[in-house]
Amino acid sequence: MQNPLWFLSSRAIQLLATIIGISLITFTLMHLAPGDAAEIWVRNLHSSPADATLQSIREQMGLQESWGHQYFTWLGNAVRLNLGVSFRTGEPVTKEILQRLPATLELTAGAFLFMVCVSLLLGTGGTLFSKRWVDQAIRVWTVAVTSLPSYWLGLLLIFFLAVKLQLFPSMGRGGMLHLVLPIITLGLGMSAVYGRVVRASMMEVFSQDYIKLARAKGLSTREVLTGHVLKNALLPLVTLWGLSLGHLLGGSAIVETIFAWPGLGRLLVDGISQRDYPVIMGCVVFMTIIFVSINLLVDIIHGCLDPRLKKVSAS
Amino acid sequence: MVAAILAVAIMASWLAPHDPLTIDLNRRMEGPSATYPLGTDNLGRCLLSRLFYGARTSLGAGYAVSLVIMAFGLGIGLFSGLAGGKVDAVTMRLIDICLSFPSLILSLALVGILGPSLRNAMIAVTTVWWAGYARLFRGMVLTAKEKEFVVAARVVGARGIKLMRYHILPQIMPVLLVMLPLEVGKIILVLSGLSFLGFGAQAPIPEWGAMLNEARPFFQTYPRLMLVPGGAIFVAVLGLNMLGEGFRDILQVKKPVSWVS
Repeated sequence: MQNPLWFLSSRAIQLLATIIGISLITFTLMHLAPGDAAEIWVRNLHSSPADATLQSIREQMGLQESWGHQYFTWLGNAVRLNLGVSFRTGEPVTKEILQRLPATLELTAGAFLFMVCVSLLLGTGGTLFSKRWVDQAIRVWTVAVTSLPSYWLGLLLIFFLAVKLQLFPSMGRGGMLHLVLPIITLGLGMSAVYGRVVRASMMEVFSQDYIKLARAKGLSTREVLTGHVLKNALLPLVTLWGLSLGHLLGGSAIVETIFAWPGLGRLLVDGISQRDYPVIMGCVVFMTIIFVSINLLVDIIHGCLDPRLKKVSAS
Repeated sequence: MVAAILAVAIMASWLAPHDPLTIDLNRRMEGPSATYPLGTDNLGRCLLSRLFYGARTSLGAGYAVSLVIMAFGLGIGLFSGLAGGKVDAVTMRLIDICLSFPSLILSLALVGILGPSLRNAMIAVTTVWWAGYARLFRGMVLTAKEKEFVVAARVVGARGIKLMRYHILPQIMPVLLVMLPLEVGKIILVLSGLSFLGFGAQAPIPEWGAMLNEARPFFQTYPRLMLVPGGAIFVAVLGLNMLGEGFRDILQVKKPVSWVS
């Protein structure tokens, strides 16, 4: 089996390659995009451009340079954490991203916890009560929830819980109450999917012989669950949950738009509708870095947790 | 149960021509039924007609995109799995790279760059989502390849490409059949989602996600505008999901856990 250091470094290289790859792709695409960057910039500042001004702005922005030159300029800046300046607001992109980051993290973390808890609940319930109506009910629920468009769910929740019943605030970020609806919207769909997975995983572990042995030893159901089933079922689950974070990131774009949540997803969406290319680039690259890093982390954790691998490296 | 909802999903695209495409009827702003069974939307268009035509757009786009994605993914997966060796390794690297991007974000960016339109949204989703299927199918091909009867067939001299189709494909078929409706459902959700954000179908094309978006400013006063298209999406996807589940029950397929991409 591989030496962990080798594993780490090879994955780190892969990470780097991916980041460069995506920045390249994004940059190329933006370059091919219709619309002259200088013009967009100027129009966003509410002035109509005179040709001479446009020209000088173009030169300033380096648009006269070759594609390769532009890309490497951008890359050089990016490495120094300068992702350019937003067309729309004139603020440095890095600053905007960092401003929004905590909001998105809050939302994503909350939704993640929600998803984990609910899916564990559903999965365990399904396992314990399998073949009885609870299991069937959970199954129906799962199918229904995964058919729900998250944006519709969000709107429905806002409508019924926030407007009609006045239970929760419908917009913006604030205290704990503000978090509830967005988290449910973001997390519910995924929790249903993973509820199924948890159940499948648990069922598989349940049918193993050592569970029967534990039962024969006289352990109560609960002890069997926590001691044996959970630990062993958890491994593939943790991997999947980690990977789901990517999905959550994507979903955040939609949820943030609905709930006027000041996060990264919304920054991206707004940037796209305003054709704010530096923001688009910055967001995409940033989010991808997060995504890839998380995947890498998940792989590492998986490697650490898998007792089979542990044994090998110990010898 | 499954069949009934499936019928609804299919019927919608057939019922659509029954209702006149009376869009742009600026006659009334909003109002409930009688001539207009579901009322009118904020621009006075018949909601029911828009719903039916939206079915064509949303469902049609969804089916088209998912078919392309799965076909492509299947093709590449088959190719890679069968070829084996270096070709396989290289292809997998490529696929891994494609998969390391968060799909929704990337498709968002693609649409943003290409410009918001239904066609671009479809292109964006197609480009981003095929890799997951490719990896999955390749995995299945590899498993199928190892089965005894396949090995036996090869020993007897079954020629790589053609006869493999008769040995490997039948093994993949059940999973494929189960996946199809489920994935179509997913793609429909994604495409409508893009439209909802304003990056898919543009006004006045009726598309369920876009209709939801248009309903947003009014949802407090006229919740109907929001309930209807969302409900439509829900029912359509639900039908598809139930179909997939039904297939799974019939075919006794175990859900491939690794596909959550």
